[in-house]
Amino acid sequence: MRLFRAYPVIFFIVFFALAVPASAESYWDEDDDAFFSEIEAEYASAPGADIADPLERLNRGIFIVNDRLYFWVLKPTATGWQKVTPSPVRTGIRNAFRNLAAPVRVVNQLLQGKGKAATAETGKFFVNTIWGIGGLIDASRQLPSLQVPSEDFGQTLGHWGIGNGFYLVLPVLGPTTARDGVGLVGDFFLQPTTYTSGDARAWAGIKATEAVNATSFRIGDYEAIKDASLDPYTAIKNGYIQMRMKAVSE
Amino acid sequence: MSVHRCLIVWLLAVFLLPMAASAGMGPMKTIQTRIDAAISLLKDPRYKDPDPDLAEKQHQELFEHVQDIFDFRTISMLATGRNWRRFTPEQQKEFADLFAKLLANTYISKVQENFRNEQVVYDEESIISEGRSEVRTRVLLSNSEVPVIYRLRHIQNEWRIYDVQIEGISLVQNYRSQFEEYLFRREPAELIQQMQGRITKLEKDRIQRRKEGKPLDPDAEEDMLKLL
Repeated sequence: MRLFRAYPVIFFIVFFALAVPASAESYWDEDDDAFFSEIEAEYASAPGADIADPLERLNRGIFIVNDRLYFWVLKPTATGWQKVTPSPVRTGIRNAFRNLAAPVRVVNQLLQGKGKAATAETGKFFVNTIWGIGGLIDASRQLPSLQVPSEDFGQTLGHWGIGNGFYLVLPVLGPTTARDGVGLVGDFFLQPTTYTSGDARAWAGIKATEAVNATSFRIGDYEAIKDASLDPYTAIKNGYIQMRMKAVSE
Repeated sequence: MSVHRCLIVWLLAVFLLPMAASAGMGPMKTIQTRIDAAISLLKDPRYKDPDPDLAEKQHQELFEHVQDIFDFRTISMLATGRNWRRFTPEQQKEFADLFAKLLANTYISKVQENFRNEQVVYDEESIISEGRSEVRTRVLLSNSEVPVIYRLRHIQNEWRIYDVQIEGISLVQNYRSQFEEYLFRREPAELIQQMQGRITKLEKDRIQRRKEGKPLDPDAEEDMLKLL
């Protein structure tokens, strides 16, 4: 009798003890259909899940060219740069480029009616320029009130209610959309680097330095994305759209 | 009778308490405990030696740990969306296991090679709906921070991750777009085969690279020199 009474308890213990190192199927249960319907509807209707890509064939071609450019030119250059340049120097250069682009952010914050953010961004520019030795040091990091989301003209257009349009891959510059492409042109005129020198070659040199320096912090990231994806083109397209949706909503 | 009872209570306590400890934890506490455990595994002095076999052992240990935090079945279900029903139950299981391996193979070795004792800040947890929640965290890098949002599902008395959003990019949404396109014209069996091939290649490359002592990121080499 006693044994029979204890039996369910023992069964209970054994069952739970076995259930602890759960594998994929053992934690699966009957509620899943209901759960699936609820959550699947949510994911299927998530905005931005889909973007028109009428130029897909051309885009894929440029994607491959950019991929080769990365592995043959940008990555070796950035790796070399990383080897010969100490990390603080690279960080300084990156900070300086970021600081220099402050007009782009301030103008776009104003265009979106974000007066407070524009004030903070301007304050950040002065703090970094004066205390951060011309922007080499991000001195404003100590001041959380000055940390505001960065804005560009593509985001401004999005804020005004203009949709992405279609997906576009630009040579060298990479993924963008019809809207963000227009935004790039707008921001080009707000970049102080556009006016720093008269000739195109000097400008290209500045831009190349910025790109190589920025890449030196991210070597391996692109490779990891490529390795983890089934179709890198689609993975990057979707990632770009998701990232921009979030940037616009902020 | 009383001896029997005693024994049963003792057994109950031993077997069920450790589980109750993780079962009773809220979503944020769960994430925090699990991530802290993963970080201490990464920092474990046992694995300091840059020996390829040790690195592989650490990789496997991290993979087992990750499998307990993530709900790869729900991840697979959401990532394949309406196509999930085209998979047979066996294929569903196989796919979930392969998807786990694909993600682990790419990201675990990257974390192993690039981890610089970054700090994780746990900001807040919120409930999405019954049995679902969201935990907001930030990873502090040397001169920037990355927002990471986990979505969790309460299943079998535990919180398990079913989606991760890094800088606004949802992992599940990203794979959804790829699987949707792939399965539009092709069969689940082909997808499984393709993933199997990819994983085999990644594993081979990883072991080969470790044998040759080539780190993924030259920065890692620099840091190793500093340690010596």
